[in-house]
Amino acid sequence: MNNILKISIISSFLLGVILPQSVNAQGLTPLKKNWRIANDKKIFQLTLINAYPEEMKYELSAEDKKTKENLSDIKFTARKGRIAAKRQRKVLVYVPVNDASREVRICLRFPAMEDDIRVRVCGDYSFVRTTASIS
Amino acid sequence: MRIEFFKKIIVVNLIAMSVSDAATIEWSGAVVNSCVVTINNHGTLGVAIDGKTMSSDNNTGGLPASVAVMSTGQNLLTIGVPALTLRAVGYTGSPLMNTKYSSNDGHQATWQQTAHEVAIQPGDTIFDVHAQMTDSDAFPVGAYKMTSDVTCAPN
Repeated sequence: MNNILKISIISSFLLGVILPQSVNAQGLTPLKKNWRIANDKKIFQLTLINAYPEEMKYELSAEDKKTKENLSDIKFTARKGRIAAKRQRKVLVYVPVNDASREVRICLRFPAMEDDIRVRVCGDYSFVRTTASIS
Repeated sequence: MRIEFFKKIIVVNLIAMSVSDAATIEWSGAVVNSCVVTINNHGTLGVAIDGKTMSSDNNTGGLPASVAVMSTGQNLLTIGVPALTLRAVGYTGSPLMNTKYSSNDGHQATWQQTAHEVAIQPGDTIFDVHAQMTDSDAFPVGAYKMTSDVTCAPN
């Protein structure tokens, strides 16, 4: 009886672990993330979402979070491109972190939708190098 | 002896079945902070009778821009300082430019020349964004456009 209960509990636990962790997020995501990194670079993935009912051209830009200065050393697998209607697109971002820490803001624009209102959706990302990686 | 043994096995199996019938299942998920800004429509500036004010709010024909924000977290919407990006030929003035907004979520702001910052709560919010520019001299005949950056970013 005890063994059966154990099997039942373990099965329930495994079911919870195995079930997919579905994330039904929309827009630029994640919008905020802080990383502790063990070397001088970080590559992470951003998901871009086109909520419009037609295909959209997009542009990504990177700026220093505090100074708003454009950053050219941050690379994207596709800085410009297209996203099909109501679809998502994943883009890899490469951020060099030469100092002890770095804070960047990455913004998504749909130029075709810009007129009197120019919309940007931006995410803030910070990187802190571990002490061992700096010395 | 053997029959008793099989009886015990059957009883154990029945208990096992009843226990397994009560097993629970779970569905796991996570909501990630995200923000989608959709322009429902751009705005239109109406012209005052004296020609000194162009406004989306106060003049005939004026319409606000409509911006929908879908946010899963508490983010910040910034409506930037407006700029005059199209002007009539020969117009060299520097009009006083303002924006204001209201939303279906109770947000409300009055005319101001500086940027607006709006704390967004999770959910859908629809903003009406108004623009207005005024010059002490009447605006010459021609096309004009006021432009403002709208940015959704973490709070």
